[in-house]
Amino acid sequence: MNQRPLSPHLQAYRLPITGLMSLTHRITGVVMSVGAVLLVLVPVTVAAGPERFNVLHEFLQSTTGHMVLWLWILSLAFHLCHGLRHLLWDAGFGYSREQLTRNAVLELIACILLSIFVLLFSF
Amino acid sequence: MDFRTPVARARGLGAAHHGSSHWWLQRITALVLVPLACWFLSCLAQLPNAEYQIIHAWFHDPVNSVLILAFMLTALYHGALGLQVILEDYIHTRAVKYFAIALTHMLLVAAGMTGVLATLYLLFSR
Repeated sequence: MNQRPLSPHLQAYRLPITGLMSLTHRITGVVMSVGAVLLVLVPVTVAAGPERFNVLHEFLQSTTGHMVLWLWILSLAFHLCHGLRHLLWDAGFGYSREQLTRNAVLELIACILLSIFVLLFSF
Repeated sequence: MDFRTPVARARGLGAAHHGSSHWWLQRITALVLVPLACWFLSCLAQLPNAEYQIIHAWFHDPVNSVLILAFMLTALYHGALGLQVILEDYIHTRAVKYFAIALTHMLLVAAGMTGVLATLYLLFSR
């Protein structure tokens, strides 16, 4: 119905780091929502018996399975760290210009550290 | 003092006076998910190595059942609220928007019910 063209945004402007992180927060949220629905498959296949569960088990041990799992874990780490910053903003902290960029970098470091920690835990 | 014309009132035009609960619940589920997600991350990391007997025994522990149920339901609810915001941002045709939001909610509720059922089944099975 409304076919008017939109002024270009994503293809014209380079987003600052905070904007990119906001976009990533949204994308990781969607990825994890899909993952949450798939996660339900775990108790379902366990309840269905060892043969069904082993299909899932073998998939998780394959390379694709590992990649899917790690995509989920990294998404969760990022979404968690950035979400904490959102909660801080909602409480009223961290709006000044210097704080915004500094906290963005701090948050990315926290996210990477968390991911490495989980990586170590899984061995 | 409601300044809308009668037909505007009948059509439901004007401010909705609705939505702050959505905002609050999104934040509250987020707060609850902070510790739950950390716990869940550790579970997810061990998942590929879990054989059937290990994972079957894991689901027999009621502490794990409570935590995984709490995580599943809170995460699905938080995700449903978030996805609703995303759909509202990008879909502007009213019918398509309502349909998409309803479909997403239904999908996540279905996933939640299935997860609860499977988890309880495993908790009480032999």
